Amino acid sequence: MDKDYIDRNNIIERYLLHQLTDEERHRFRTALLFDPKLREEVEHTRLLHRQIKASIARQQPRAWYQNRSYLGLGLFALLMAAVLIWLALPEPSAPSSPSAPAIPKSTTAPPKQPAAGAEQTAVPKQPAGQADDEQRTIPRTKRQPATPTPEKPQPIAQLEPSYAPHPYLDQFTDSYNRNSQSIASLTRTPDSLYRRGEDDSLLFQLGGRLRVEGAVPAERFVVRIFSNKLEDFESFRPLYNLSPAISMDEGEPTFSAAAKLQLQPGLYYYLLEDNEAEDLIYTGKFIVE
Amino acid sequence: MEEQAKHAFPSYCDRLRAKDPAAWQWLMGHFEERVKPWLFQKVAALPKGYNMARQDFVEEVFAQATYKFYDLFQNGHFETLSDLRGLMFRVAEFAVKEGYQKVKRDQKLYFSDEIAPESMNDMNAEAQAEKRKQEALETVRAFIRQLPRKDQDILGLYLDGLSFQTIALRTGLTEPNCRKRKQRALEQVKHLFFSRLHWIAALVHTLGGLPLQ
Repeated sequence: MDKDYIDRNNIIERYLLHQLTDEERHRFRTALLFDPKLREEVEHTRLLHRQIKASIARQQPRAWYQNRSYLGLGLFALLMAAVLIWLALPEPSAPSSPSAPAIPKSTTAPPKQPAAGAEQTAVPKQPAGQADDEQRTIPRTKRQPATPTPEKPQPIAQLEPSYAPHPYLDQFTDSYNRNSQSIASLTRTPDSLYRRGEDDSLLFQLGGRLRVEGAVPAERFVVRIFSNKLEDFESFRPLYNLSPAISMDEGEPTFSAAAKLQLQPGLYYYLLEDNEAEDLIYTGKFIVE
Repeated sequence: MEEQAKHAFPSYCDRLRAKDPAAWQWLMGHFEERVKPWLFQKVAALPKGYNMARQDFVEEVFAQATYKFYDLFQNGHFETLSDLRGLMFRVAEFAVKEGYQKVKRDQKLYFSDEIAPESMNDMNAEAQAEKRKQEALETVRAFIRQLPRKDQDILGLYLDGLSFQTIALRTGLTEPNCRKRKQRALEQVKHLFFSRLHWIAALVHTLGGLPLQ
């Protein structure tokens, strides 16, 4: 691999971004062994890429929730708001505090006469001079007439938690990871992705062509199915792990995964992974209604 | 080649010593198959604060290990293919440790806002080369700061390994536009970096410092 070929085909950049084919990569690695100058150029380009990424990352403003000072300020504001709301709330109608302002006797309603034969339990007759006790019998609503509150607008439709998008996986759905060189195409049609079987199970199907040279071990690829819960993904609790079958089709290796799944209604994500390279190749999602 | 390497190792070894590209290419592929998965297992997760992906780190370590292997091979004595593999595993293990230190060092030297340590003022060759790189990278950093936000986004996403299709979706631009913007920005940065690197080297050379690399 000469310098001209390397420059013309942008080999150094593609090498650093893991975009070379196996053959190109082996040839380039050999060229690197024989040419210390080329090695240095690669190292400098690698350094340059890292500097570009670091500079851009430094330039990008961090999300407010990633900034600790904002987070602290937010928590403080939340606490203050909670205290203010607590202070503004009307006091409970149960026994009021002795420091409550006295209400003139003239405004108080005369105590109701108990029905004949009934025990006087609710409003006992108070001796004169015990104003505090008397206040207890006055319902709060009479002192502070409540203003009619407008009805809260109800949302037209609310998303069930089981259908809520996954906070992390959703941004990667229907996208290939370009780092991965092993998958050429992915056969995936939304209508044939799953079908409801007679026993109420779902038939999940995923297939594609591979760009891998030589024999492909059966255990190389895996399809993992996750629920839409973040904690399941973070704790690595896939609902299903499917090993796709590898076969040859018109001289090209293909893979296909199919399984009957027992799933509750909700949103689910599937991840196609390369076990050998420990690489995520493709992310997709589907809904069970 | 595989047959020869496994069953006629002495002649294969001679081809390696004669720098036969085909023999070395096969060996590189063989090491990728055997050593790289082991490296991925060994480097489970990078420590916090390392501004690089695990795959990039493993690739860099593997590359450094092959260079070291190549140097050691010249003076070594090997009887079977597994001897070569054994050497490569040992070298790779060492390269992982070196890799961690190197990333840490680079992080401090090139990617932080801290002022360069005093040792950088030394006149020895290594320190001068570091200083040169640092200055060139500072120019790059300044240039990146004045790039339009969209160009920065495209460049960042491209270097993260995303396809232009995804970049176009994320930025709201067309695919050819993204491609063009990336090409233009990256070319400018490259030119700036490498010309600066060579210019400083030439200056040092003129002032009676180092020989040009």
